[in-house]
Amino acid sequence: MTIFLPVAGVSIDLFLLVGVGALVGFLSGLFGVGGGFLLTPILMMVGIPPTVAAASDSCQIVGASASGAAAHFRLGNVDLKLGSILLVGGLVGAAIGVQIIKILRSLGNADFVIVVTYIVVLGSIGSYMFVESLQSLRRGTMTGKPHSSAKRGSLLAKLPLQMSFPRSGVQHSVFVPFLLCTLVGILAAIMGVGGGFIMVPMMVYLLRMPMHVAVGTDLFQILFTCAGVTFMQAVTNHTVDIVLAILLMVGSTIGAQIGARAGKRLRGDQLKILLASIVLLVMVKMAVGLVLTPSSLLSYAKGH
Amino acid sequence: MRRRTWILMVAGLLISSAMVPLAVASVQGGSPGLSVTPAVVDMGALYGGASLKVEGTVAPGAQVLVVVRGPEAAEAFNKKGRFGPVWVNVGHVSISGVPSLFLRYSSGPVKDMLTRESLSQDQLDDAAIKAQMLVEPKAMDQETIRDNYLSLKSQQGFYKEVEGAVKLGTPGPGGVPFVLDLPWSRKAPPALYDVTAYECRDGLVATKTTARLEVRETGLPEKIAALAKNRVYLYGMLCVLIAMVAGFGIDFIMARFGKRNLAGH
Repeated sequence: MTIFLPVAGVSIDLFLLVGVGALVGFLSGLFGVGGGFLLTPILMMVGIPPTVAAASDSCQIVGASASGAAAHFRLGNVDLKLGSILLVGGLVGAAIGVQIIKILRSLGNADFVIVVTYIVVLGSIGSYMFVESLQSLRRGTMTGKPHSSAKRGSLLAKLPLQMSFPRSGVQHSVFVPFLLCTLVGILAAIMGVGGGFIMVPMMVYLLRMPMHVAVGTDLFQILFTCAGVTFMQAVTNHTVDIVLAILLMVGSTIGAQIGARAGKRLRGDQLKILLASIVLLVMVKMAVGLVLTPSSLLSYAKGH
Repeated sequence: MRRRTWILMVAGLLISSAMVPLAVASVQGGSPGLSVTPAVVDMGALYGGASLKVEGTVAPGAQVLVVVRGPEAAEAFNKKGRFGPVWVNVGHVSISGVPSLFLRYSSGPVKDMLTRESLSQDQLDDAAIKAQMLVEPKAMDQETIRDNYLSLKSQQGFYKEVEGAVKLGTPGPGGVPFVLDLPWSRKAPPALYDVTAYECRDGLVATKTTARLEVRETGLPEKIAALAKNRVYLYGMLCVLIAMVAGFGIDFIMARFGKRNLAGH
């Protein structure tokens, strides 16, 4: 059964879109990632113009993260206090990142920098998570538990505006989550994704948050970030296809619910090793794509 | 009276002698009759492509070529190049002067129907399209870019050449009927397309006729596209609102469904 997408201007199989949405929604609910780094390339592969794919993807992430965040909120996995600081930091970082991209584009090597950034960031995070989770699984310890008692570096502990985050069971200076999230926001803007797959590992390893709370809190901040992006894309680029977004949402919201429940049944280490595997797979795919000779030396600069 | 009769007779003879070549041209095909059914393709909510029928008549002994052309518009591309061991975008290219879509169907092998000159003159094959393609900036490797453009369009199904798809019927008093069953790709964007039938004889294009094919958005897709284009703030807010309502709504339903399941256990 085919359906016509009015903004994309293409006709596509309805069940294919719902299925793709369900798969990405499942990952979203399971790991707290928006899924943009997976969904946009898949949509482009099935014939959606790149600009419409990216913008509509943001719109569906609003639905998926709303569903996932609400499910995690009921399970007590959303740290609203920390999430709000992360949100502000992420937005500041995104604004800085957009300016960096502008400068890189004017210099002419933006695409190369973007792809290399992708590979370095994904490779580093994925490898670290994978090795750490594997060691943890072998030891049979539960690292998904709060690490509030861990001795953090004396330098971080001496920073001003120390704040307690009871839901996450950690204490940090406001500057720590804010600056970390600003850095993630910069990377996310350069890489053109929501940043969930960077944010969750950052929360777990640097902020020492429990995995499940990191996932719920990340979904909370993704909801607001992607709502802003969707509105801006609709106003400035006219590339949000609501029909496409709704179909993806139908799949992804259900997938996110199932993912959130499945996540509850898995240990933090198991979640981390799964996410690490996906991150590494995407990284390998990108690295291979960089080296292989493309089927065509031309690609559409805007849509189609 | 006699003089008047003579004038009428001479006038009659002149008119009828003038009509003879016209009648002959009609039998020989003149310009091939052409119709596209349906002439308008509506892209509604459940649009999934269309089946078109192109019909007409040509003179006995002629071969037929049917070409569908999309509107010409400049298209912007990124060009990939090697940067050390990796492939990255190394520049931008603008291509114009060629149809956005080019579908060619023939009643037989085109190399036997038309000479190289005829193909070039009416831009009826890849080589002719390549020759008329405008590539900016000119400093780029023109030949490589032209080949890659045709290859990209071909991969998308927007450039295609099929031999033997046009079927010729039994000659009749009006000429030889031809028919082409044309599966219209659901990927082809809304636009006004030209469908041209070429009557080919002795390696040359004897005559050609063009009909219009309109592919347009209708119904809900048309309204949504208009809203997205003309009332951007309202559309943007609606998109966010619908997404949030859908997300929280599904969560609400799933929460209730889950509770009921637990109660059942």
